Amino acid sequence: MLEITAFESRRRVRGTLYFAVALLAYSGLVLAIFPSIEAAATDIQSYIESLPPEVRRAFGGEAATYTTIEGFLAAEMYQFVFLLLLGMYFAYAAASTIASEAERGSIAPLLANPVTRTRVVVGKYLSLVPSMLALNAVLLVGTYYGVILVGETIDLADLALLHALSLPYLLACAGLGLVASVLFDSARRAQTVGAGGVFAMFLVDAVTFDTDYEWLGDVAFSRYFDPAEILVDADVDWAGIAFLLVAAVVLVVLSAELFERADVS
Amino acid sequence: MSASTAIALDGLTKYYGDVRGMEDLTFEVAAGEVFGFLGPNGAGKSTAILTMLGLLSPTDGEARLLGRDVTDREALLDAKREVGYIPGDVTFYDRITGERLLDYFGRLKGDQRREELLERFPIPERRPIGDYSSGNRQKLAIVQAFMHDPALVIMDEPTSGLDPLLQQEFYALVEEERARGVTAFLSSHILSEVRRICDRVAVIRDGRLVTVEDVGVLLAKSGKVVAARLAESPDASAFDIEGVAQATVADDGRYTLIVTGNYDGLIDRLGDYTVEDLEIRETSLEDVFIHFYGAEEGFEPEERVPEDGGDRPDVRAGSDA
Repeated sequence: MLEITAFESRRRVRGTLYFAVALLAYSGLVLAIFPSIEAAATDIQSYIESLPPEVRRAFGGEAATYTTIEGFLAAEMYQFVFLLLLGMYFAYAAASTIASEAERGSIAPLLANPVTRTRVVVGKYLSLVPSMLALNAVLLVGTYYGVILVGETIDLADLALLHALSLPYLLACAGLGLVASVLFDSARRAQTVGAGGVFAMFLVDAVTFDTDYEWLGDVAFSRYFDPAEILVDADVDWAGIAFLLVAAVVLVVLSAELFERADVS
Repeated sequence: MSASTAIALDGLTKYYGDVRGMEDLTFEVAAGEVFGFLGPNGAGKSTAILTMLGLLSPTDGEARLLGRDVTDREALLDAKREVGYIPGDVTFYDRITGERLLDYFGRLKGDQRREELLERFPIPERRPIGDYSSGNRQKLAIVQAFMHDPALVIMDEPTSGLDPLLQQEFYALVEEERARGVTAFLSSHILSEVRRICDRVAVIRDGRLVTVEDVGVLLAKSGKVVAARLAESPDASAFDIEGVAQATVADDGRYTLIVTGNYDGLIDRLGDYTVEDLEIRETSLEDVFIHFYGAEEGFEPEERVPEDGGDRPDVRAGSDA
């Protein structure tokens, strides 16, 4: 059953490795800055408090938490790494799965094997999971020891929970990319729509937050996964996590059904 | 349709929007038959093959492989367990090695005959497929198509890119498989190949079926070719007479007439002119195709000439091919 997943996962190993190194470097950079932020905590807090509330949100909400290790990591790393970087990466990767094979023409010999199209779609989607787990594990371990290295402490359970809860968000983003992948024969178009969709959702969520149009952002996946809340307040929006999981399943089922009906040549 | 029918098409039609891919294709391929599917590029051969494999959904009509309706997901899956496929434009994954591709496909469908096939069609297994020559790609396609011992093999121009020796090896393989009861369906525009291995052919033009015929019968029905050189230069229409199916005149003044009925009319007409040279030979498949498609639309010369120069015992007199 998992032959397609095994094959496709193996093809992702190299890309995942490079990406893991880049994430570690980014984590190291953010952690390296932290001691100087902490040293200037009082000034920075009063500066943040002087900002209009909409802008203040960019610093993770509360001025008091920005200069803690949890608040700083959430605001400067995890918001960006999970919501944008990894979200867009997995949407892009999922968008490439079927569309790039359709574009190159390797999909026909694959589908001539005794496999259903649903199995191909689901198998390729699942091949992203090892990569998600590996990147999370590397970043978790790297960040945890990085924190210790800069002389701080962080609760490992909270950090691990944050990483675990990124999975539903990333699965939903990949689901969006997967739909794009079966809708378009051009890999580039599918990738643009997939990754661009994640970016657009993030923007809509951010721009409409605390406005009369906040409901517009209700469809954005980023609204249901808040790294700052989880890391700083250990507060988990379980309904939101459930929404993301349901969205991921619905998008995969939709992709499979669309692909079953598509003409492939 | 009987149980011994490997492929059954009934009114199979595919339109891409308003563009006709194929229309109303109806024919059957018996189990154990080697069946050729002929037509120039763009005639709809690949459309038909992709529809038979369930990759394109027909606009109308029905296709059955080994008795299973290819538009039924479960039935198609069942059928595909016993089907091998050689794609027309062989594309696999460039960055992986041939060995890994065969491992992968082997896990999906079985690979009990893999080693034996690799001995006959050796490839640089440990090298990435992206580095393969077109011949090696084609060999890889052949190995993967036959390695699970399928009952039916569907091949889109299977010998393209193969050198003559490997072409012969491939023909031998198809003949051995036929002896074991395997059905082979191959599209081709290499007529020597069709003549060599096919029992029957379907001819397709502009998406429509022109004829389905036993190769031998097709040739027999196609009459003889009379090539003549005349002192005078009458228009080709001068031979628009009973018994002459087609008359063309080449730039060098040579007349080529396809005679399907009796010769009396032709003899009478030739009597009106001064015949400088005359030869009569049996038709080749090339002539049949020119008959079906017209000279302009027909096959390119390099596709008409058999690469090994042989297997045309019907050429008795000097041919102008």
